[in-house]
Amino acid sequence: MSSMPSMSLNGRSWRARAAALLVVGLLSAGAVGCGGGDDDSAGDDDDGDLASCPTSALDDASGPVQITFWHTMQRANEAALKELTDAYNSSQDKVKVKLVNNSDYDDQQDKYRAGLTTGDLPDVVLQQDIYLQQMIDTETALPVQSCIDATEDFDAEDFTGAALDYFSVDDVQWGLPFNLSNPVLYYDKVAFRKAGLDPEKPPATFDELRTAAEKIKAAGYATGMSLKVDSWQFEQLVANQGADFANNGNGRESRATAAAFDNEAGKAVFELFGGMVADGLATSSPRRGPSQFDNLLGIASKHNGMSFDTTAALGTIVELFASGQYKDVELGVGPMPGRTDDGGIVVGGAALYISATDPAKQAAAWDYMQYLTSPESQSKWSAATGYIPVRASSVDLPEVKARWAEVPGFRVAYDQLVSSAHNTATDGAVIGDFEGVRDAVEEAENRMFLDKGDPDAALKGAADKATSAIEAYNDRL
Amino acid sequence: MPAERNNHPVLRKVGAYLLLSALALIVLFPIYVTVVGSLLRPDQLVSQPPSLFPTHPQWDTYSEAWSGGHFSTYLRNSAIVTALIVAGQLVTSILAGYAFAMLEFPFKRVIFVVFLATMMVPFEVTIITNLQTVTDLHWYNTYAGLAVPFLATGFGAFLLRQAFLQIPSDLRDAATIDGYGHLKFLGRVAVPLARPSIAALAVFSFLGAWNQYLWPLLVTKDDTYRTVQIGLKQLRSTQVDEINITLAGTILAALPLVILLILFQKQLIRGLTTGAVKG
Repeated sequence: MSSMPSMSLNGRSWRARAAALLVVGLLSAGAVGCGGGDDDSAGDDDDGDLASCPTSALDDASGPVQITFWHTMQRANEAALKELTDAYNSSQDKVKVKLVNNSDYDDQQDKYRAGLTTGDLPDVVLQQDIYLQQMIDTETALPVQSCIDATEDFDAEDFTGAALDYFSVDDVQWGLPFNLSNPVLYYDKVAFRKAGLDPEKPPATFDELRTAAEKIKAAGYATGMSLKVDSWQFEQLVANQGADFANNGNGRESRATAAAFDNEAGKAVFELFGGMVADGLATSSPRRGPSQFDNLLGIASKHNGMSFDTTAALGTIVELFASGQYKDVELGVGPMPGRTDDGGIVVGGAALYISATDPAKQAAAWDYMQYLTSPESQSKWSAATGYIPVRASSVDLPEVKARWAEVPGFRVAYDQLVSSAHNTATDGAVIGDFEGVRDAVEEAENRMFLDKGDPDAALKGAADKATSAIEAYNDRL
Repeated sequence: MPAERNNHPVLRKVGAYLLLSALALIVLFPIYVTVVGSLLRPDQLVSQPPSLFPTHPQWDTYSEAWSGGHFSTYLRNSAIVTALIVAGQLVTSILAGYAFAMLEFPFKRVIFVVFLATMMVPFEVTIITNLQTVTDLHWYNTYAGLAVPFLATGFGAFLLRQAFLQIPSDLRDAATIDGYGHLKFLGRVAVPLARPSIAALAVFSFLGAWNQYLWPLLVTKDDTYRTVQIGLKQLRSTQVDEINITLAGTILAALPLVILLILFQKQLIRGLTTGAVKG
């Protein structure tokens, strides 16, 4: 009698989430099943039969076109988005954008999939990177490619590194990147000095990383490095060695059917991580929950000398170090180690998709999206939020320049992205059930760290489980 | 031995109070930390060792949470939806519970088992069909859409059936002789006697309705009809030094629950222990 089974609706329990995902997942699969013919390749539309983008519909519309934009930006980021949007709304009288905040990427995706039933879908939606395949499969998005093709002055060349490529499959651009972030190596320069390492030269290879951890530990730190159990970091380190994460060219030549990270690159990462934890050179820390900042607070409180984490946290971390709370630490930011000639960093973040069906709204959505990704908007956006600008020319604009002068670490993230090789490995994997794949990797890492088990076996187990998740999704289509 | 008899109860009382205080401390400490955390300066939030007393209380975290979580709209919506759900569940559960306890009708056992069976089906399983129904009825993004799917519960019918079953049949017979029909008996005798169980049900449905998150998110279009747990989620930040605002929001969202529990404490405990101690 302690709980009411029929009312446990807070969406937090794993059971709730699993059940919702299952049901909603089945539903979306059903919707796709009705609509599609052969679904063997990831994006089976050829350029020729893409739906067209009615860019001129906006001029024909009488009165302002109202569009809804679903996003998940919180707090300061939401304020920055609102400021940009308000400026857009008042700068012209053709389009009025209404912002709807859906809390976080996962909940928004549940709502989006439920919208396939209710018909309540937005006109523009900001979707997390890993939902690319799902967005294609829902068949609700007007490919951005159509609009790019219909826009003469679209400057694809100016988009940062492979930002466009990540959201494009089979030469069809599905989403337009809006906010980007990367993982970087955070370290304490004071710890490096104490350990006899060069504080201006962060470790560039896996061997150097391990040696640095050894020396930091020998210099009296509890541990050399704090490793977050986060599949995203593993994915990045695999791509940095130029290896695919999933088969069929990372799901970009045709739909991915199995995990491919059980390769030399994957082994190198698992052996590095597993070995460091087994030898006491690193400790693991969780990705979610109240302890999710422990790896970075650990640097500040001189528990560990290094950790990987997202650049989205950089602004906060810099403030934290400058607060005077932590004595005798100095923040350093370095690129992810282990880069090979054909390797690089995969674009992380989210992209804008057009879900509108009405021509005038489609045109309005495209107009607004071009505004949000213009060099000027991106410069303001990047300076306010810490996201990497999606436009290369934003880097020379005053807002970004000023912010980067304050926090030079941002440039590290930008540079490691634009210096990446361009191939399927660095374009990133396109997988339907990416969450299931990430769960498999993180579970294997956790178990390896706890049992100090064999890294190769752990990796093999992760790959098998990831493959089952990929197959289960594909089977539902 | 008079000395022993005098000493014994005092010692026992002291022991009991010590034990209870220790337990209360364990239960209250997380709440205390939440309150303190909501008042700390950002740099104190991340200090090592953690601050356990707000030396410079930051009350503006509450106004920040109030506006950032849209609490003025969302709290009102939550209050309306919760009131509808609690009232609806009480009415349907009282009527259904009474019917199962006091009336004879065909297939009573089968229907009761079906009621019980609904308790085994998590709401998540029916979420899509419910969403479809609500949309077809044009209740999407309305208070009706938020409340109607929760107006009846198998659990409530079951709980109140058990309570009504405990009413002695002599009472029913006496009432019948006095000319009471079922509705009169229900209102004048059965409901007052089952008050502890009804209060317990009210509190449980309040908790359930107040804490809803996924359904309100799915069934609302925008801020107009969203409820407080969505606002709370929107306060969650990726910035480590903004946790004080999230914590302030947590307190604001939990406050109505705390007040309710204090008000209904007596009934709630009696409701939980009826049946447990058979007299």
